[in-house]
This record gives sequence, C-alpha cells and structure tokens, in this order.
Amino acid sequence: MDASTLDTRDIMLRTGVALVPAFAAATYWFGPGVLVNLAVTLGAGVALEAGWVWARFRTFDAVKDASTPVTCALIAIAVPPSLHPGILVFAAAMAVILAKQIYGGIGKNVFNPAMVGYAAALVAFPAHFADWDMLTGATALDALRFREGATVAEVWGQPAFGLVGAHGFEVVNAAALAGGLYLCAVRIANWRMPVAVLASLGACAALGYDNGSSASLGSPMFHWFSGGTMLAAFFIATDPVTSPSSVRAQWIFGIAIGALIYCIRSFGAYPDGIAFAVLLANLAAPALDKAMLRP
Amino acid sequence: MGAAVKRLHLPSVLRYPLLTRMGRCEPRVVSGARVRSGDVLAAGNARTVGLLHAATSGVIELTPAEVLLHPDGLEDALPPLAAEDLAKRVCDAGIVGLGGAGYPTWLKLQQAKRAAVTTLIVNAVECEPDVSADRSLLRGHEDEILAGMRALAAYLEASRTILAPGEGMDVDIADTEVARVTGTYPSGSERTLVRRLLGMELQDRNPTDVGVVVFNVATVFAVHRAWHHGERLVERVVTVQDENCWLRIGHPVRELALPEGEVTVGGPVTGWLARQGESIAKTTRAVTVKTPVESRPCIRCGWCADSCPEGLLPQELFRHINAGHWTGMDALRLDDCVECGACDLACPSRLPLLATFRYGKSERRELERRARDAAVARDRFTARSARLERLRSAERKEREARMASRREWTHRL
Ligand code: SF4
Ligand code: SF4
Repeated sequence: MDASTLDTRDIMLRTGVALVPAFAAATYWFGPGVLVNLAVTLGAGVALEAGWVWARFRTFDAVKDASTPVTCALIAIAVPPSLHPGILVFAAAMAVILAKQIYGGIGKNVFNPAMVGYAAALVAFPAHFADWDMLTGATALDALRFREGATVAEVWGQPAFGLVGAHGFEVVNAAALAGGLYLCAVRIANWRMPVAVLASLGACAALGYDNGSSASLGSPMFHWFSGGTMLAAFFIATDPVTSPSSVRAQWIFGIAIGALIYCIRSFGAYPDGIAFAVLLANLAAPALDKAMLRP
Repeated sequence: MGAAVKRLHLPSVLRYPLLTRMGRCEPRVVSGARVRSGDVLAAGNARTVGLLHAATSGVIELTPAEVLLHPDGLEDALPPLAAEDLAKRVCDAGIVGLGGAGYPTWLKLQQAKRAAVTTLIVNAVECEPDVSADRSLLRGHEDEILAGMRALAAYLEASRTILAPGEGMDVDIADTEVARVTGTYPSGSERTLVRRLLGMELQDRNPTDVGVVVFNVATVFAVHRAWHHGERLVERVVTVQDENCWLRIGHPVRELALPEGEVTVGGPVTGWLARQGESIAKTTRAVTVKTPVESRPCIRCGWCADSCPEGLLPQELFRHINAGHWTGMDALRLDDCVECGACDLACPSRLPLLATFRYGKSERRELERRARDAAVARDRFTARSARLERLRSAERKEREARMASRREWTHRL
C-alpha cells in the first residue's frame, strides 16, 4: 500500500477499520452493550462537534477529517458496556468540545480527546465505573492488588482471570494488537510508540514479578494482555497530534506511558491508569519536543 | 501516457523574457528586424545565461522586458554551427542543463574536463512524479542519446558511462552500462544519484570533486543535435498535462490546450504558478494544471519529515513560518530545504509545505535586508550624532576661551 496517497480522512477511516477486531471481540465477550456505547458516543460526538463548528465557522469543513468517529469509538470501547447514555454523551462532549475544539480543532489539541472524555467521565461518575471497564480492567487488576497475601497462582483460580491476563480482556487485547499491527504495517501508526510502551510496561512488570509469590504484582504477560494495554499502546499513544515529533522524544514518551501505567496500576488509587498515564505524557510531549527537536 | 512525442503547431508568437531565472540578458535584435531560425535574439553572461536563439523565422518586436518573435511560417534557418571544440559548440548552441537547473553545459564540461572526471552519468530519472519528458525522450531516441553520450565521454575522456533511467523504464542500448534507479521520490537529484549509483556521499562537495559528472538525458540529446547536426537549442520535450510535446523555447503557455484551472510551470510539485505571458523556457520540464486540493490541518503525523531528503522537519518549519517565528528558523535549517517537494507529496493533510517554505525563504531574506539597512542607518546616525557632538563641544570650548579672554580684558580696564 502506498501511504503517500492517503489523506487525513483515509488515515482516520483505516484506524476505524483497525478497531473492528477489538470491537468484535469485546462484543462477543461483554455483550451488545459495547455496540450500544458505540452508537451513543458516535451520535453524540459527531452531532456535538458539527453543531459547534457550524456555530463558529458556518461550514462543516472542520469535521470532514473523520477524526471524531475514531475518538468516539475509543471512548465507547474503553468504558463499561451499556454505560448510562447520559455519561456517554458527557464523555463525548468533553472529548470533542473541551479537548479538541476549544484548543482550535484537530492538530492543535494538547491532550488525546478520547482519554480526556474517558477520564472526565471516570472522575465525575466513579460509581458507574466501579466494577468493570475496559481501561481499568478492574476485576482482575483489583483482585491481584487487594488479594491480602494470596499468591498469584491462588488468585488465578478466580473466574476473573483467563489464560494469561484478565478473563475476556486478553482476547480483546489480542484483537486490538492485531488491528494495531495492521496500522503499523501500513505506516499509519508509528511503531516506536507501541514498542516503547509495551517494552517499558513489560520491563517494570518483570522487575516487580518474582514468579508469583504473595508480594508479586503480575507478570509482563498479564500486564500486556489486561485492561486496555494494547488499545493504549497502538491506538492512543500513537495519536500523532498529542505525541512528540522527534524520534528520541517519541521513545521517551512511550517509555513514560508504559512506566506510568505500571505505577498507577500497582500503587495508585485507580485500578488501571491508562487514561491518566497518557494524559500525563501528553502534557510532557510539547516540552519533550522542544528539548529534542534538533533536526 | 503516450510514448510518441507530439509536435504542436507553430504558435502565433514566441516570447522570450529578458530576465530569466538564471540572470539577465540583453537583446541583440531590434524591433522590426527579420530573423532566421537560429539567429541570436539575446545574450547574457556566458557563465550564467548564455545565448538565446530564434526558434523559427519571423519578425521581431522588442519590448522593455521581452523579445517577441512573430513567425512568418517560412522556417528559414541559419547554416549549422561549425565550431570544432565540443564545449565551444555547446556554448554556441546555447545549451544549458535541461533537467531544471539551467547551468550552462559548456561550463560544466569545462569544469569536468579540468577535474579529469572518470565517470559520466546520464540522468534519466524523472525529477518529479507525473513528469515524463525524459522518459519519452529516452524511449524514442536511444541512438541519438547514445551518440550524445559517446561524444561527451570522448571529450571528457571518461572511462565509465552510466545511463540511469528511472522506474519502469526499459532501455536496452548496446555497450552501455544501464543502472535503473528505482524507489521513492526524490531520487533524481545529482547528489542522490551519485549516492545511489556509486555509494558516494557528496556532502558539501560537487560531483566533479569525486570524479563524476552528471548530465540530464535531454541535455545529452541536445548535445548530440549540436555536435552531429550543428543545431542550436531551440526546442525541448515538455510534459504538457499528460502528454509529451516538442515545444519551441518561447512557446506561450497560453497557447497550449490546457483544461481550466491553475496552470503550474516546471512540474506539478516543484513548479510555480504561470505568470501573465509565461512561456516555455529552456528549463521548463512540464506544464500542468493543478486541480485545487483542499488542505486540512496538520495532524503532526511526521510523514513529511520521513520523506525529506535533507532530514528537515517540514511540519515544524510550516508552523514557525505561519506563525512568523523567524528566530527559531536557524535551528530548523530552512535554508537547507532543496525545494524538492517530497514533503508535499507525503502530507496526508495536503498542506502547501513547499510553497510556504519558498515564501518563508524570501520573507526571511527581506527581513535580513531590512535589518541590515536598519543597522547601516543606525551606524550612520550614531556617527552623525558623535560628529555633531564633537563640533558642538569644540565650539563650546572656543566660546569659553573667548569669554574668558574677554573677562580678563574687562578686568584690566
Ligand atoms: S505530513 Fe502534513 S500533516 Fe503530517 S506532520 Fe507533515 S505537515 Fe503535518
Ligand atoms: S521541499 Fe524542502 S522540506 Fe520538503 S522534503 Fe524537500 S527538502 Fe525537505
């Protein structure tokens, strides 16, 4: 495939295609609520953004790049299935209006819109996220954390766990990995970010893992295939707008996300910290670029 | 794209601007004069512009900026050139680098000969996508190009001759080393070619410094015509939209049958918008009509940076120029941009990167000029103030002395 003929819209559409396996897996494991989420966020996000740009510019040019549907899809798969529609609309509004349009539209935003929408909803409505959601992968990650002295193998017996990661999540992660590899293969996603994120998360996990004793914090495999790791590594960290441009800064950016995910998962108040890890790294991206942009 | 090169009808007028991209030339004809094909119309410094010849016979009309030639349709021609030295012949024929740079070929020959180059590369790698002038020339005129190559190699006493066609060009010329150059744009520049074919990094050196000289295939063809037929350079192959035509130098762009739209001269990527009265120059490879594309905001994907042969960061340059941040530009090396347009081709948001860089360069030159002028004015002003101050203090001292002497005088009274 010749990447040079793609335009921005094609990029977004292909990213959408790459999300299909993850959606299929999530729907299979967690039910059609995932698709309900998708429908609500898509409708709300696109309508809100269209209304906003029409009010400001009297044209719809600013929505033609199709980036909003991708943002909405990422929110839809990150939150618990069949989340209250009001919360979904809130998350979509935060993503497209607060995180994107207020900053001046696509290309000018500092934070990944999907993660802003997700984090805003998580902070505002914690009760609705309590027992399940994609990016927290709560059950298994929590079970592993608040296990009161049990060894990993003992905890693993619980139904929350699957083959290598959290039950169900491992399949969704594998599907996201497949989609992500496709994006890297067609050179839409920058391969450095997922490599850096996964390597740093894996390295942290390997350091904290001692073959499953009672103090152990989960193996690299477990961390890779639980929660929203693969989505974050391939679809969120690779957002070109909110990641740095220079190669060295990209490595640092990815490594920081991986390490932050591990730290928040292991020591933070939230069971999975992907959204916060990404937002913190987004915050650092411009400074990283400024420091490293010496062509 | 049709392989055969079309010939167009004689236009109603041929226009030769006196100010060319390579420099100024002075008219050598007067209004009302009759000229034959091959007469010298204008001449500039031989080391930059060289000679400009009439492409047909007709009557001259001179304006302050142009020589206009109204063809009479007779196609009277001067007798062929006769100089015995190849460089001299090439100079008399007005041949310049037809690949786009327009560097006088006789000068390049002389420099190459002095540097005793051993390798002659004939560049037929198209400089830009959608331009196929070189390709079409190579396809129908193998023998002529071979003859041109032999003449050049003999003159330079080069031991190795390489013909470098671009992607998808099958050439089979007897006894010639052919090295197809494939891969991504841009590979048609001299530096890239030398690196690709010979594995030599030029950095700041010229190809002749490493014993190599590169000629564009159209130039080689023109050399052959001049050397073996005594012809002057009065026409060339131009890609007009999607077909290739033999066009006379001076053919007005307006008289080409082009679809509606913005007419770009010099190639769809690196060309510029046709001006009023623009005509085919020796260096014009292509005339195309751009379908206007809608730009979208930069999404910072970095594809432009990946494609830049100079390793620049076009997205950052673009941002800085649009914001008018001229101070940050040194670190981003705007001046190193070779204006190849590879970034334009790569950009998924279809941003006018190259056009912005051209604007940025000229804007920066202007700013520098103004800063220089301001510095000169400031120096002048300080010098003047100092001078006035000196005068004034001298005056003051004089006056004080006068007063003192007067006081003394009154005292004495
Ligand atoms: S290729 Fe275009 S959209 Fe991508 S970073 Fe460069 S200028 Fe921006
Ligand atoms: S036009 Fe300039 S910035 Fe763009 S790719 Fe070519 S050299 Fe790089």
